[in-house]
Amino acid sequence: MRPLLEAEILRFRTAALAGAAAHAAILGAIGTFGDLFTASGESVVLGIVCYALLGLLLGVYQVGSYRRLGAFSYLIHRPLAPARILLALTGAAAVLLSFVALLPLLVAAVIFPTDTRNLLVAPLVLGICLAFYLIGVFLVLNPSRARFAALLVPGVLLLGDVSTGGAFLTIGGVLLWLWILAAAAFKPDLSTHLDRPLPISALALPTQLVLLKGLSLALVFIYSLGVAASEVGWRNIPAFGWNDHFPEDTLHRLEYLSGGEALASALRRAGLNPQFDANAAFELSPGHREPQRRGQLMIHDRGHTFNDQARSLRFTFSHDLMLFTGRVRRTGQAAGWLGPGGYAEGELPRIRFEEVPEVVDGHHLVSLRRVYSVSGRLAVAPVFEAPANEAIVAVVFPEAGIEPAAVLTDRALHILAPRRLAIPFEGDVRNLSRAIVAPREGELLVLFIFGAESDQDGAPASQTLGLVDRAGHYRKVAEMPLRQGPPAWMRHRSVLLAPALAFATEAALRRPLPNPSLAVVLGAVLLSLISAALTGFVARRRRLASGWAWSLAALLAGLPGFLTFLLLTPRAEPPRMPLGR
Amino acid sequence: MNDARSDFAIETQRLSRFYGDRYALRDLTLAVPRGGVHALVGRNGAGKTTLLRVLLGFVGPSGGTSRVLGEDSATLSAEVRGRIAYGTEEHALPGWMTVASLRALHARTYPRWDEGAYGEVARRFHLPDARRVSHLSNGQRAGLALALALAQSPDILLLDDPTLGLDPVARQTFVETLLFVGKRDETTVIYSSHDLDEVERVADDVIILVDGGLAAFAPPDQIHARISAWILDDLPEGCAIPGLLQARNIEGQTQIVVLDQGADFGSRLEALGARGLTPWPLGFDRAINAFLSGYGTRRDS
Amino acid sequence: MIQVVTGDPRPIFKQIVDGIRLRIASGEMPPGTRLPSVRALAMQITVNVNTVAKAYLELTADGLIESRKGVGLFVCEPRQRRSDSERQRLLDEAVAHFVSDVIPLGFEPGEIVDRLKRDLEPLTNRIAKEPGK
Repeated sequence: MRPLLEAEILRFRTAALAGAAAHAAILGAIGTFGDLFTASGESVVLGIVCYALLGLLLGVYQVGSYRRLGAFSYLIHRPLAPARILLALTGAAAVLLSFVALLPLLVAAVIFPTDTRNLLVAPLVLGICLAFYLIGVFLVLNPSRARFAALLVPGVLLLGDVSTGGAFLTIGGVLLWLWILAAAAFKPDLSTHLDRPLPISALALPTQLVLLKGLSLALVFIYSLGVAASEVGWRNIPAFGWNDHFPEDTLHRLEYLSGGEALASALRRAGLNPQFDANAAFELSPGHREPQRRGQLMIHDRGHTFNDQARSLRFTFSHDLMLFTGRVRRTGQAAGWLGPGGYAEGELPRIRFEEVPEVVDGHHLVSLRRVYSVSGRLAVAPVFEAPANEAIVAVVFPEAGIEPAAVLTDRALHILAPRRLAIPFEGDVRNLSRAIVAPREGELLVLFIFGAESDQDGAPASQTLGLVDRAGHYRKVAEMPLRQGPPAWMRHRSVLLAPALAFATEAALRRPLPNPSLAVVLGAVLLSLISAALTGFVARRRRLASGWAWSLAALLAGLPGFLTFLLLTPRAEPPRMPLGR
Repeated sequence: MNDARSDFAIETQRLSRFYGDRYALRDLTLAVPRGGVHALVGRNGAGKTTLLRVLLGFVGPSGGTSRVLGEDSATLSAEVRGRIAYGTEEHALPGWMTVASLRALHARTYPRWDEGAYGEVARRFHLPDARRVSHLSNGQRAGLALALALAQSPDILLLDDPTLGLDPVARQTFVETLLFVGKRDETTVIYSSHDLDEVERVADDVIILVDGGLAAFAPPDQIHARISAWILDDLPEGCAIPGLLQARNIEGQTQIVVLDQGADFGSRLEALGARGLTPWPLGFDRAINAFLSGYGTRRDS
Repeated sequence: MIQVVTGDPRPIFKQIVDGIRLRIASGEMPPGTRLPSVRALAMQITVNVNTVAKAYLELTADGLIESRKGVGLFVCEPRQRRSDSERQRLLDEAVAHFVSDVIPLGFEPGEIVDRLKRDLEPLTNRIAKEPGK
C-alpha cells in the first residue's frame, strides 16, 4: 500500500506546490488588505464552493485518469485488496489536500491574529475537500444514474450543530458515509451496480431526498400552471399575477402584501377603520436565523465587523476576548479595542461583552439579549436589554435615532417608542410570520401574523390584531384564523409522495411535524402500496434476488422509493442462453 | 474452499457473457493446463478480450463459471492477483510515471520480483529509465509492459494482443523476449494475436474462438492437419461439399477448403460428380484463415 | 542455415527436420558436426523451444543425430540404421507417394524420370563418395 501511496503523492507534487503557493498568496492578500476570518455570507459560500471543487476535481482526475487510459485494470490488478488500493489513493489525496488547503489556512490563522476558534477552519476545510474527493471518486466509478445524489451528503453539515465539537463529528460521519460509497464502487467489475445493502442504503437515501424534492417541485409547477390556466387561460399565463389569486383571508395572500397593506386588510376584516399613516408603519419578522454563540463555526458568523469611517478604523469581533479588536484600515496596525464601555487603547478593557454581538446598520450592536448604540465618538451605550428568559430575534430602528423603535424577542414584542411596552405573544416564535405596528391618533395598532410553519398543518395560522391605547395599555381586539392558500393535498405533497421521508426531514429540520388530514393519509398509503407493488413487479422482471427488500423500502419511501429502485438496480438480466446454435 | 493447486491454470465451464443484444462469449468450456504458451485466435468480436476480462474479474459472466488458479474469477484474492500478470490492449500504463519509478513501484509491490528478468527485457527494448511512459514509442511501451509482467515471476501471463501496431523490429523483439527471457517453465502464457505466422512459431496450443464459442484447442500442427484445400474444375450444381469452410472461384476453377475430411475426400467428391480434383497444399495462416471465416456457418453437421 | 518459411504447408517441426535432413544428405553437415542446442536453434529461428525439441526427437529416432551427454547433439555417421527390408519399404512408400502426387499432373513418365534424375544426380555423386554400408 505504501508504494502506491507514495507514487500518487509524487505524481501531484508539482501541482500541490503550485496550489499551496496560490492558496497562500490568496489568503495572504485577503488577510493583508481585508479580514480573512470574518468574511460575509457570500464569501464564505464562495470559499466552500472552491474547496469543494478542489476536492472534487482531484478525485475525478486522479481516478478518472486511470479509467480514461484504459489503465483501471493496471490500478486494480495487483496483490492488494481493492479497499486498500483506494485507501492508498485517498491517503495520498489527504496528504496533498492537507498541503494545499489545510497548511496555508493554519499558517494564515497563526499569522493574522484572529480567534483561537479560527484554527478549526483549517481541519474543517480539509474535511470538506476530502468529502468531495470521495464523491469525485464515486462519480467516476459508479455506473448508476443516481450517483450524483452523493453530492448531497455533505449538505448534512448545513443542518449541523453550530458549536465546534459537533461539526467535526458531523464531518466524520459524512466522510464515513462517502467512504462506504467510494469503497463499494472501487472494484474490478465497474459495470455492476452496488449490490450490498449498506452502500445501497447510503446512496438510496440522498437519491430519495433529491427525487422527493424534484417531484415536489414538479407538482408545484404543474399546480401553478393549472391555477394560472384556469384563472386567465393558457394564452395569458405569462401575465398571470399570483398575488391576487388567493382570497384575503388566506395566509398565502397576506404574505404577498406589504406591512401596511396587511394591516389594512386585517382592520377591514375585523370591521374596523382601515385608515392609518402607512408611512409610519413598520414590521419585524424573525428571519429564521440561529442566534450567535461564543466559539461558533466561522460559517455561522454574521455582522462581525464594525467600521469607523471617521478614524479609518476597522473593528473585528474576537470570541477569545469578547471585544472588538481595532485595526487601522490601510496599514493594519493595531488600534485599541471596543467594548461595552466604549473605546479603549493601551490596556484591555475589563468589561467585556457577555454575548456575541452582531453589527446592525453600521452603528448598532445586537447581541442575544442586548442592543447597544455606538456613537460617532465610539461611545457605546446600551439602549435595550431583554428580560432574562428572552432572546432577541429582530430589531427595527427608526430613520434617525439611537434607540430602536421596537425589538422582537422569542416571546414578546417590545415597543420602545413612543413608550416602552412589552406585548407577549403566544406560540413559538418560529411560527410567527411577522409583526406589524402602526401609530394612529396617539394609539398603536399591532398585528401579529402567525403561520410561518403552518403549511403542513403542524402549527396554527391566525392573525391577532391589538391596540395600545394612549395610556399605554395593550388589549387584544380581534383574533382571526387564517386559511391556507393552496389545497391540503398540495401542501402535504411530501407526505403523499413519501410519508416516512417527509416526517423524517421535518424532524431533522426541527420544524413541527405534518398533521395531514385523513384523506391525505389514505392517499399516502395508497401511493405507497402502489409503489411497493410496482417495485415488486419490476424486481421480478429484472430477476433480482432481494426484490422483497426493495419493495419494503418502496412501501416506506413511496414514489421516490420506487424511482430510486429503478435508478439503482441494473436493467433486465440477459435472456436465458439459447442452447445449441 | 478452493483448491489452489488444481491441475488447470484456467478453467471455464459453459461461460457466457451477454452484451445488450449479442453474446460475446457463448457456452465456453475450456481447461488450460499449467505451463506452455497458448495463443488465443479469433476474429474481432469473437470474444478474446472479453474472455481475458472475465478471467480477471473485470467483467462478470452472464452464465457459467470461470476459475483461475483454483479461485473464482469474480472473487480473486489479492494474493492470486499477484501471481497473474496482465498486459492490456495498447499496454495501458500510467503516462505520468517514468520508466524507473514504475519499475520501482512494481518491485516493491510484487513479492517475487525478479530484477534480473526486468533488466534483461529492458535492455532488449532499450528502455530509457528517465523518460515518462507517455513519451515512449509503442514498441517501448509494449516492452515495458512485458518487462513489468515477466519480472513479477507470474504463474499466469495474460496478454491481450500485445504485438498489435508494433513495427516489425519491435514485434520480433517482443516475441523473442516472450519465448526466451525470464519465463519460467511453470508459467502459463495466454496471449491473443492476429499474426498467424507468429502463432504457429510461438504457440504450444492454439485456442480458436468463433462467435464467442470454442472452435478448437490443440497444437498448431494438429489443427493445421485437419484442414485441407483442393482445386477442382467442375462441380455439379446443388452438390453439397461436406466440411466446407471456404469456396472461391479463381479463373474458372473452384478452390475449396474443407475441415476434417480425411484422405478419401478426393474420391468421395469425385463420386459426387466433381471433376479435375487436385490437392492444394495450404500454409498454416491460410488454413486458419479459412477456418475462422467458415467455421460454423457452412459446416455440414 | 535452417529456415522456417511462412506459408509452407508443412508443420514447423517438419520443416526443421527436412532442413536438417537435406543438409546432412547434401554433405553440408558432415558426420560429427555439432548441432545447435535446442534453445539455441529456437532462438536463431524464433520458434517455440518445444517445436525444436520435437524436431530433434524425430531426427534422433531416425538415427540421423545423437545426443552425447554433457557435450551436445551431433550428426551421426551414416551407418546402416535400417535393415534392407525396411529401407526397401521406405523407398517403396516414398515412390508410391511421389507417383500419386505426380500422376494427376499429366506428364509423360519419361519427363518425370528426367526431372528426378536432375535432382538425384548431384546427390548420387556425393553418396557414392562416402563409404557407409
